[in-house]
Amino acid sequence: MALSDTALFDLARGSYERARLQWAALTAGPVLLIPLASFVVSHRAYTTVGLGLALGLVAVALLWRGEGFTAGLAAGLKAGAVPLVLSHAANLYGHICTAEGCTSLCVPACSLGGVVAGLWVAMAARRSRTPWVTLSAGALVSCLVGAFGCACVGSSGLLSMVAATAVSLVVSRVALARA
Amino acid sequence: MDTAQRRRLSLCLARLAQGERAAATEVFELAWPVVRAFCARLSGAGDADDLAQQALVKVFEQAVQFDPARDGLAWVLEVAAWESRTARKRRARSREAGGSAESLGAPDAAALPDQALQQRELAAALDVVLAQLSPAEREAVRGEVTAGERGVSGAAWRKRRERALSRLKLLWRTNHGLE
Repeated sequence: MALSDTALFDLARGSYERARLQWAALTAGPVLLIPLASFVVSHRAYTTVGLGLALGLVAVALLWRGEGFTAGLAAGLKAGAVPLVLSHAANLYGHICTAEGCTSLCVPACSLGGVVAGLWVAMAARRSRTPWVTLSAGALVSCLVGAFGCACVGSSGLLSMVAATAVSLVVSRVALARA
Repeated sequence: MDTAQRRRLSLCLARLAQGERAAATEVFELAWPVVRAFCARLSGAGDADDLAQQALVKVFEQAVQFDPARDGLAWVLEVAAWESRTARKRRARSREAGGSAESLGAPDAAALPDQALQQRELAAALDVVLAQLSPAEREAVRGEVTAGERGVSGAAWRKRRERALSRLKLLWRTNHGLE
């Protein structure tokens, strides 16, 4: 059956999108090592499964979309590793006890990790052809990755990381734009 | 297809592999005439259009895995040649499975079109390998011009032709694993 050029183009495009989605799903597979490793350290099943599903779906969507979105995923994974490692390390270290009492290091670790992650994503977005796309995708992924560790003290850990990432992103963007 | 168009096809395929959907139209416009002509030469008969359409859909399906270091035209022709081989095997299998009554009557008549198809496939495989040579090497291999027309001495032309043939043999061995 001979198709018109338009129909053939639509068929080819559909085939491309299906193949790309399949490729994205396969390529995103290794991302699931993050929730797995995080569970081994933290033993929080529900948080890990929930965040793992979200991260997996976001990774597939960004890989499928390609271009700046994929660059954002790569930057976000690297940047998010900073709050993830810092918060897990803080969690394993335990508390610091002074005369006034004991305090967890988790929130400061998440804040510091968030600042570094924001800076990292902003630097990566600067090199991208679509900086805002890379920035948004990178920030989303870095917060999701960091959340595996920063959920150690509940919402305060998460909020401190997200706030620190946002502030760091804005400051870095402004500073880099002026430079 | 001239050198500029060939370079453009490689570039557009690389952009499509990165997820830039805008490049799809250009890939279609550049690849479709080539694939159609290649498949017409390969199958000869009336099913050339069907084969070309299947091959083009396959090109788009595999575009996500295109390596930007490769030549776009050679890659497209390779995919088309592979698709044609698969289609031929599919046809042969369906003939074996369901066409015993038809084939019993004229076994020798079926052998000739098969031979012709094999010849065409061989020619198409050669086209794929030729596409990987530089325009100067292709010219030397095909012997379309003489040493005088090229403005070089007879010995230099023979040497150039010998080198081009050696490269053709090497590419053939790399692509097909035999001489």
